[in-house]
Amino acid sequence: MTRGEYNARVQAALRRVTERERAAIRLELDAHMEDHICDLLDLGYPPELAEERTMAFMGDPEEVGRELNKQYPLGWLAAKWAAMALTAVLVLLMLLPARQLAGTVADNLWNRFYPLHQLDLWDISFAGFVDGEYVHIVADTAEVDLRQSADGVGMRVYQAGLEDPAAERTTAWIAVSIYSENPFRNSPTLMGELTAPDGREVTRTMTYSFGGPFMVYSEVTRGEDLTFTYEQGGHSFTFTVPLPWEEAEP
Amino acid sequence: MKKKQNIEHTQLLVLSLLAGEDMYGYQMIVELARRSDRTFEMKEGTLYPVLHGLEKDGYVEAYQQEAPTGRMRKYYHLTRRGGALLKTEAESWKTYSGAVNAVLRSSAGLNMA
Repeated sequence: MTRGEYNARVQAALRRVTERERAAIRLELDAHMEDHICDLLDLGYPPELAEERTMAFMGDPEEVGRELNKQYPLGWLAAKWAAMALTAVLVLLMLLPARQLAGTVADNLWNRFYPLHQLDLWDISFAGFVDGEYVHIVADTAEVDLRQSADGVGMRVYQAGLEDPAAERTTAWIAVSIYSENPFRNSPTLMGELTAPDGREVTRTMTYSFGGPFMVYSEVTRGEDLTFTYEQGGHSFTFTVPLPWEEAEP
Repeated sequence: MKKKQNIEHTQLLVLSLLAGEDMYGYQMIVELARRSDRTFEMKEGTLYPVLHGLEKDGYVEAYQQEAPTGRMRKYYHLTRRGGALLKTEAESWKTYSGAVNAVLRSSAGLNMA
């Protein structure tokens, strides 16, 4: 066994030491063995025999490691780990506002410029398997681009769909997004009130991400558009949305 | 139990060595063998758990010093607390060894000259 191997076996038995303590133990034992080897060399021992004898004098490396381990209480290492965990939590807490801000900016930008990324009427309208294939509640969708803004709050209608574009009466679905025009401002809350000027019943879905978008749906009669009003925070947005009706058979 | 006694004896011997001067580990081994006429020849690696335990308990303190060869050595120094422990333990040892000797002396057939 060489000096290095002896030290490696001692180190392998150490469980409760910090990296600094581990390095200090390795250096101290190595210095001891080097001193002993030098003394034996001075007495005329050949190098290999000097190292071999030194290792024999050192004793069982596992036992030395185990006994050293006992001198380093577990509580100290546990305190070190607890301190590291606490530091990590504090760093995360410090980073949280930055992460929230990044989320706000991302939501505002997506909802304003590419709400389809957040919510696609077609994708969310699976009704389930029919004859082994997925079918959609919304049979046909069309992209539209209607926008309004007031006091820094923007609203956009970006998709319209019909459950049965050939029927005389069916349900229309509208995809709507809402956002702050200043991307660093919090996204508007979605607590507004939805109505239709002609008094028909219009309903909204829950939001699919913070700050929008969401969907509006209502019963419609063949050929008509859907008009709805969304009021929030003293602002009123009214949209008339063309629907993708199929052409009537001649 | 036997092992515990060995470590306790080694602690006493180490404290005693450090009462004279600051020493590093290998120096203690050599000095211990010399002073005891090689009666106390321990497995050298087992000295370090004893030293680190004494350091943890505040009986000795350690510092680094460069040897003439350029290698950094870890020297141990007896603290005031270690000195007090040495005094107490030495007294206990004298009492203990004196009692053992007294028993041996009184035993029939033993010549304790």
